[in-house]
Amino acid sequence: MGPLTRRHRESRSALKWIGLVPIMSALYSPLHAVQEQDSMPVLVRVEDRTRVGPRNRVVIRDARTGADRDIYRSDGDIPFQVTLSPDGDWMAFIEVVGPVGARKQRLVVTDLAGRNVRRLGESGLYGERGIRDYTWCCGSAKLAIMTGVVGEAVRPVPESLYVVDVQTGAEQSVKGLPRPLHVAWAAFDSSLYIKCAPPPEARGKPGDPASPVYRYHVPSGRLSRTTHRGIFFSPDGNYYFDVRWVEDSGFRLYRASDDENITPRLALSPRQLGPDAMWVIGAGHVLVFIEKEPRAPEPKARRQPDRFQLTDRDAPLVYPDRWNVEVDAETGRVIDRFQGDIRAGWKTNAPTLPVERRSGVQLVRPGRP
Amino acid sequence: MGTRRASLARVHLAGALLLLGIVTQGGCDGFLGINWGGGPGDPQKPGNDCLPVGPALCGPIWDTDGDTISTNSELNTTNNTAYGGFYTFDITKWDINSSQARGVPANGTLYNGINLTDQGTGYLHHTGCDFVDEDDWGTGHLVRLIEGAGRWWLQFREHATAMQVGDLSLKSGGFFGGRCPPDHDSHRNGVDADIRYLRKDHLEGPLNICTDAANYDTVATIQLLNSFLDAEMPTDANAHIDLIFVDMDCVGIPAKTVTGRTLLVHDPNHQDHFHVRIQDPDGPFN
Repeated sequence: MGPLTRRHRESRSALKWIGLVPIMSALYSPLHAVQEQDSMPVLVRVEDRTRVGPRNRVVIRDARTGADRDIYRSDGDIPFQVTLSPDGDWMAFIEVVGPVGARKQRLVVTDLAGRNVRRLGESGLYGERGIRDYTWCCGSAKLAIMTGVVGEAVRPVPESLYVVDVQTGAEQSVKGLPRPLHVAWAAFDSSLYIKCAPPPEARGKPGDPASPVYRYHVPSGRLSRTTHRGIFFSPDGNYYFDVRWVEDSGFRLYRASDDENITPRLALSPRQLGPDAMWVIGAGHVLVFIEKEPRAPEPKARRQPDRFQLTDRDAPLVYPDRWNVEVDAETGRVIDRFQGDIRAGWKTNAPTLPVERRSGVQLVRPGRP
Repeated sequence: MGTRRASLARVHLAGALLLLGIVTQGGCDGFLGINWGGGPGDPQKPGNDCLPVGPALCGPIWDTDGDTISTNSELNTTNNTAYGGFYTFDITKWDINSSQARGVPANGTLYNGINLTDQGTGYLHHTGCDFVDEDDWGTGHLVRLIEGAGRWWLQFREHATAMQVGDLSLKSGGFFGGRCPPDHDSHRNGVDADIRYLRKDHLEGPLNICTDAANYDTVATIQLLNSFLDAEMPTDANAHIDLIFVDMDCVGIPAKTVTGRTLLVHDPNHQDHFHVRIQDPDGPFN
């Protein structure tokens, strides 16, 4: 097969996949539950977050009664946390369905009544083209969806970025990105920031090649390369951070105006600057980290091999006693410490941080620098 | 993906020889049953080097000359200078392991790395997007940790799947990416190795423990992790595990070992393999 024919086939294959994106089952409503929209903050999460039971439904918590109500139940699994649109009208999550050995993943987008359900970008779990990353963006009812290889790659698969309107199904392709890897929405300047892979020619070379960061200004549709080194901007846009998970302290904080690395000014030990950092919504530039206990010193002489043991399968994976620390990115000072699990999966549209405590989930307002 | 029965038969045969080796500890009086290191900072030869040139076995069955560089590695032509490698090993003599991890895992290079044999006792190497012998170079300590873990895995595993080893480092280290995404943020100086989780269906092949949790064999994966802890011992690979990256939300294994070492570290990018990192065997200052 000649190169032209092969290219043509790949192109047709891509279009076929894109054609799956607007698949819609608008009348599907597993529970036909209706959530009244009012001024109360929306609070949703995937159950069973504690992993004691199956993880296959999304619940909404009634702020008045504290009771949970199912708004979506899957025939398969919902392995990751739900994401909520900024206005709280829509939610999205990855769903995995099908028998073992032939499982498929797809992105489910639904309103909070569970009535308007869309299923986007279905793919296999291994080595196929599918959804790699997504984020709410561009107002309230749009998603930026990054596609590429899912799971281990055995051949190069092109990556693409689309902006999809979840109400109309219309999609807009963002062209000109070299190997996009991650995408984040920056509301302060109505832009998507996209981190791309280092250039292929850096392979095998010493040093740490830079990952180019692009800005896609949604209102104008203009794509431009930036000098930034990360994509996770503070709500006020003055700072951003970059994370490298495979380092013990793989967190870097930068000032947006001049891209200077200001990580050393943070009044935390490098070990505390874990890659699980997040900006606090509702505060200009407040970071929150989960506190970590110091690593135990390495035993000097080991006579017996160490061992891992199976965890208690009935022990819930929620940590209400864990401590967290809030830091002002501008001064580097610690603003506050508070207890509770900030990764328990709760999502809200209120400018607060949902924290699971022994007394239940609470919406914590961020401290002020 | 497949069961690869023929290869498993070979693996079983190798296991039988391994047990024989453990019992006999080779045939040489000079073998002390300990590992003398082999990094530039460690002594390369024991004082009572018993081995003249000749057929005598001085080490265990997997390391006949007892120099801590396995016989498999020494016979692996990819390591030979004639084939572009860095060594001219002799399985009847002590050889010097001159590999060095330079820099740090996220910004470093590998000097005189050793190529992991593509198939050894209890393990198989899969290349993914890379070419054969392109993605499986490491320091001597890392290579023998993997080989040691493979031997222990073969002894104690409950099902017949070989340990599946993915990416180590490129031949001279440096940035490991540019072909198939995602690129590696580390794997640049020969101290990192990716290993697949174990599947309940006993097949070789990828497994995402978050999206394909029903097929995730937690018990077997713990056994595999414990094989690495066994191989860590001074009497085996004598390599010190620094961290093991896993997705803690899905792995179902506590971060701490029974002795209180926090070895498992959360990383959401490690849903389809765990990532073993050893401490820099030649120290952090080169």
